[in-house]
Amino acid sequence: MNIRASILIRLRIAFLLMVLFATLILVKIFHIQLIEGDKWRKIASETTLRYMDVKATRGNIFSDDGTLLATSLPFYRLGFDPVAPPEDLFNAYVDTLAWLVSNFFREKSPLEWSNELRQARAEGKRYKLLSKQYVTYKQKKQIEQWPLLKEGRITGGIVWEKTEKRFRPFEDLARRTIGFILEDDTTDILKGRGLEYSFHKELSGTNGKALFQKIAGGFWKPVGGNALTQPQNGMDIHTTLDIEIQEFAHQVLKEALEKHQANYGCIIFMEVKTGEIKCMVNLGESEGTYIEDYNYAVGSQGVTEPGSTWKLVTMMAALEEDSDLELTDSVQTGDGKYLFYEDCIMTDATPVGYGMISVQEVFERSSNIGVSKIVFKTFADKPEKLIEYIEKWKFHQPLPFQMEGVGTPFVTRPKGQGWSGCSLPWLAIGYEVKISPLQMLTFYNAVANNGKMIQPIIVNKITRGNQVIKRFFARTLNEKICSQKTLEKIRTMMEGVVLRGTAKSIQNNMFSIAGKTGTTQKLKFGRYTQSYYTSFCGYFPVDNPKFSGIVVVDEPKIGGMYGGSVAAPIFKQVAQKIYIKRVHLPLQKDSVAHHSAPKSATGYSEDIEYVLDEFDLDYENKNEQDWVKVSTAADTVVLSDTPTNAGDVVPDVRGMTLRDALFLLENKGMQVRVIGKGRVLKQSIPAGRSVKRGMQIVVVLG
Amino acid sequence: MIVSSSKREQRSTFQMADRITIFLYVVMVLLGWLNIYAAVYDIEKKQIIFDLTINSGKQFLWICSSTILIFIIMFSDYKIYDALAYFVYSVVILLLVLVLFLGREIAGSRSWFDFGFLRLQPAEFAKLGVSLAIAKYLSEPNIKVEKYKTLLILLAFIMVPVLLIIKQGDTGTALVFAAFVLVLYREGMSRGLMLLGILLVLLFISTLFLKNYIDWLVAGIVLVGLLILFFIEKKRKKVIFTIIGTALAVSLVLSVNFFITKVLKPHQQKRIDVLVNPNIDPLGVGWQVTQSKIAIGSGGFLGKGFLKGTQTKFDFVPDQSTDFIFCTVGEEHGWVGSMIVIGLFVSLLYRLIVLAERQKSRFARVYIYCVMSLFLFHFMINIGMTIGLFPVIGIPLPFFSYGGSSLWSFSILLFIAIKLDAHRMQILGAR
Repeated sequence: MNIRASILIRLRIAFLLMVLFATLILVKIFHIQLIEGDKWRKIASETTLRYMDVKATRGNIFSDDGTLLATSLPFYRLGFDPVAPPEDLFNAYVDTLAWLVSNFFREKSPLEWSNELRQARAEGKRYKLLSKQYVTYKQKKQIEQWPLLKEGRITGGIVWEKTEKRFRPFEDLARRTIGFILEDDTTDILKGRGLEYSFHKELSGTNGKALFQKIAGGFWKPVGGNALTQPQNGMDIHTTLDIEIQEFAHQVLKEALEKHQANYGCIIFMEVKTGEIKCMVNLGESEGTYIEDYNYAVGSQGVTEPGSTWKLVTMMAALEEDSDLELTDSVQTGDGKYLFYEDCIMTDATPVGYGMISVQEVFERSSNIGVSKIVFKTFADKPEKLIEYIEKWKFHQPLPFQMEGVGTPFVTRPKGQGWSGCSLPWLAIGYEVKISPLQMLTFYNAVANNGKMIQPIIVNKITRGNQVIKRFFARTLNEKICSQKTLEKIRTMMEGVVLRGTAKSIQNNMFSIAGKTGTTQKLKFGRYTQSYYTSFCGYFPVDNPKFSGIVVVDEPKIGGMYGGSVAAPIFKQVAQKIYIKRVHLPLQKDSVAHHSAPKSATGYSEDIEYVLDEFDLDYENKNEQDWVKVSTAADTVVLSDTPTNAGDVVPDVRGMTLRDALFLLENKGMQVRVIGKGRVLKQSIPAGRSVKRGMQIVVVLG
Repeated sequence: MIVSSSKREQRSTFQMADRITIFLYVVMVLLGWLNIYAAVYDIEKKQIIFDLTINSGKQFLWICSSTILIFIIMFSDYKIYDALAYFVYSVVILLLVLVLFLGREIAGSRSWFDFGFLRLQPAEFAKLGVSLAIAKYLSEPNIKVEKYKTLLILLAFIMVPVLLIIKQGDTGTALVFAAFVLVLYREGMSRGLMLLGILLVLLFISTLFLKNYIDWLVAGIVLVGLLILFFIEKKRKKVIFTIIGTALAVSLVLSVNFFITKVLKPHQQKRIDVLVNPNIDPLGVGWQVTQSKIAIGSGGFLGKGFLKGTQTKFDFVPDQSTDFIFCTVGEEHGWVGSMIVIGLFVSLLYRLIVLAERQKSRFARVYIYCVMSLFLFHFMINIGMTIGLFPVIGIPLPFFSYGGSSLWSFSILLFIAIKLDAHRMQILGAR
């Protein structure tokens, strides 16, 4: 009984405490809501402070000459406070506004808008978004002229929501290289999003925080200065891309892909000494046209069996390993079929075979049998040694590059899974190995760069305003990839490919190219098919290499299927453009005479003779007149008579400077009207007509 | 046999289950869900309540999964809770240790397991483990709470998870375990200890409030001690008791002061400072409370109406859908709505006491008391903090706050109580 009583007391005490507590809460809530209610409501509606993010402006991406490749532009969304305008103003213009909004955004009919706006006002809504579409700054200015809205925020009720969007002035050009970034990006899945993603940290800057106060109508205004952290705007990224070359290469590749109805293609050109990438074009087939849909040059989808361009690697290894191997040594390639082992038949791209040819010819004609026999002979008993060379040239690991999502290469290894008797001969000619075009180019560039292998770069500096924050230089990956002797042999072979071999078609008079073609039979569902992966990788000019490049065209369906006929001509076209624009030509003395002699211009003979003498040019003056017509015939310049010298006929002033023309015409008493700038292009009265005093003549300059 | 298959028994489970408690549970969960929707609703986007990108949609999934858990509990054998009590406790302790190594750090505390699609907080389930373990231990024959040895063992049961949770950096959840003192008191812990406890809490609080006047506080305590000495009978035992008591009080004050200024991290210190004076930092920690008060206060008598709240919409109140969900109730449904929610909680707590007191087995009674105490503590502290009565301790409001772990653990806690109660006739009397 005592226990029961004790428990009861305990229960009551515990319950009492609870009730006390609950009462406390009740009283407090009652106090807050009903006694202090007005105070809190007032605070809520009038002044409320809040920290808000102040967005940092994202940095720009520039080409090598400072052209904008990507920038952030402001865009706006139109909001409206239907309660703001006074009654009469609202009623007078609401229908006009409804009509304008309906016409501008084309989302709802004027009637619907009119009803919605009236209803929103009746419900006392302070904010209504008129469209989710973003408008440009120019359109914003236009909308600000609409009736009612032009009264401004307080009486007009116009509210702008500003946001920044990424804008690429060149649209599809280098789209995958420049890349993109999604809003609120946190995922690591899609790393292949180019420079925007890879340099996101530098570009994005840091958002600031500012104290904002809520003011009447639900608007926010920034207040105070002490609690404020300024946004740090993003830094600018300067790429090494030459937008002119990029544009040209883009066009050339697009046309080629269309012509060959290929799957995808890419072009990369880089400066030999600096490693700076001047263009990086990636085009893939998409709904009947070709667009920048993936970075094949760098990313994992572009990592594939390189085919014959790889022969440079294995031949270099063979030449290094066996220093007695000379380019003049002969190799028996037989009738175009060679049996290494059973089921292991190597063939050449010829119906009859090349027979006995030299090592140089093996490379020039890209003989599979030749190369694999040479490599097999050198490495059959020590395949690990070949792998050692491959690793020395960094083909076993992803290329260090300034972009995220670099594809991982693959090399079959002895003792590894899938290594068979066929592996070594096939590895020799570019199968059983997968690498990206950029990595292949890096190796070829090393050959061009006298054996020094450097990491390609695409961004050379990061700036904030005019201040350079960071500069990037190409890191050296390998000081000397092979001996000078091997290097010279390799270069001779590469020159031979263009002079006599598979890329004979791209020879030109302007400059010389060295390189190697590649044609890979593509492996699909475990067997080699009749579709090809074609490429050309090389450098120019041969004597003093300035640029190296690679062109890849995947699965050309018509108009050729070999590297020499598909990829090499593209290489040539782009190389010519780069050569003209970028490779400096020393001026030759007589080139002035050949290319720069003035064409049929008319002038005062003493002046012209003076100029020609100064340039040390030969000329022939036929009739010693004051005024002469200049014409270039073969190697000499001929000065001949013009009607100008006759007394009272209209002179031929075409090609003259305005000073000379005015002197002549006004001396003969004519009135001259002048249009335009420059030298005289046309004259209204033909030369040879007789002159009357006060006659009006019009000369058009251009 | 762990799972009972007798049809008669199952029927009896549902017939005997306490309808009132279940009704209160359903109403609270549904109201909670609507309030979460109101808290995250965006006027511009106009999402529906089931939208899985917002918390209300996710909460719907949590409600569905809780329903499954409830059915599992109701269909299981009522004897397993008694039988597996220590096992559950051990598993929970193991999880608390594991989370220290494998957990994911969120907002300063490493207390979550992250499985990608779902995050679990083992500390929430520790409440269940401790409740079962205490109930089990007290239901052993010849156990008397009056004995100090029993108290020490019970204290150990509670303190092991508490220390682990504090180690995770989640002091708020750790504090919840203080709720078990109420159970111990009901089960016979001496009044003296309880009073001592209250005295200590009072001293503790006054230390907080008089942080800058510690010398005066100490002087005051010594003065009180001297006065007592002066007035009481000069018996040796009482004199010594008073002197020791005074010394203990002084050392407590000094150690608490040391604890606050030296051990607590700055953000924890700040929370205490703000409680003492909410205006010292109107935009820091106190800001949360001020915003919460603005939201509740602007609700007035009837509130602004469902989805019409403005303070709760623009992220004014942080943790709007979790710890500060009561703001949404206050703003949108006013004084009336707040009273209804509080009424629901008081009814549930009262009902749980009724259930507990009608148990024949000590295990069931102690367990239900544990559940009641936990709900009481969460309810008091959570609402207390939103209206500025307590410091901001991040603990959820049962059934209302958004969160999977908490909804699961509260549902499990409650429905094991309902299950045990449903079988009260079958459970033998106190052993």
